[in-house]
Amino acid sequence: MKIESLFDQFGEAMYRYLTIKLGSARDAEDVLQEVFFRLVKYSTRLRFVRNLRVFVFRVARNEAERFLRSKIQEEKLARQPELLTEVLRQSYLGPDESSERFISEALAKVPNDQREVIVLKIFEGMTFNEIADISAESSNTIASRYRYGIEKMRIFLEEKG
Amino acid sequence: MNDRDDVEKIMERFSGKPGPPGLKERVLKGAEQKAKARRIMTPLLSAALAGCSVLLIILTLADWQISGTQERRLNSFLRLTPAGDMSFKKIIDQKMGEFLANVTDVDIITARNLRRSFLAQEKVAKARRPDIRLKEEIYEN
Repeated sequence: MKIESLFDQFGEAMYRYLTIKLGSARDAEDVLQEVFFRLVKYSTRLRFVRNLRVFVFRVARNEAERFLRSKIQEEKLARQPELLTEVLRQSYLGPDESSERFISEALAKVPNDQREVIVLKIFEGMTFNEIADISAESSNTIASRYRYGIEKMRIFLEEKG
Repeated sequence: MNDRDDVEKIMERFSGKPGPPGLKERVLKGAEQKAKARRIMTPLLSAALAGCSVLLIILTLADWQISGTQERRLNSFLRLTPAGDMSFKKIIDQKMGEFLANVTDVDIITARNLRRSFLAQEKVAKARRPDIRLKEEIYEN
């Protein structure tokens, strides 16, 4: 498979996912380059991959985790929810201004692992099984993270009125 | 927004925004540059590896050739029969066979005597060889 067509299929979605996971569009672009470097390396083996979307997102997730470990950005991200709100608003378009703002704020308050599941499930339309394969976790764990995350968002939005 | 389903319903209406302009080009170019920079087998390294392989083959062949020559010379000095040469018994058998092919009605005693005479001939021929080796030794020194 050509690497350009791989980008056409998943590039933008991976960029959005990485932007939210890393909390920075600039870092997301750097990591995405690293992801595509890996995919170029694996290009001969890609035709044997059963679910290409899961595979490329798994590579993206591993690279993002590596980046976070090296830069210790996760802690920085946790301290700056307003930065994450902005990043979410840059990546996804809501039905209207207020819901875009409220949902982004609520999503920024959710822990990283739960936010990741919500983004992949609702915004990128993945199944729990696919997210479980990407994260190397069980489907039950992923479903729980999703439920807890949505519940936290609901409570936040309720408090906000 | 009191229901969990409400949150999900609103979020489902969100759509992904396109990435910044030129993202694809930048990402693919960057990935290509990284692939080039981190390639283990650079063209120079490949050429060096090929050169070393050819050199190794040449040295192995030369070693094999030199060892063979040295072995033959050493054998001639030590009066050893080379691995490919015929043994003493085989030489006599061959000579006997050639002689008896032209002669009919040879009894056992005559054949035994004939074998003895061939053996004596061969011993004489072998006894002459040290003279040649002595000459070779003289030339070597």
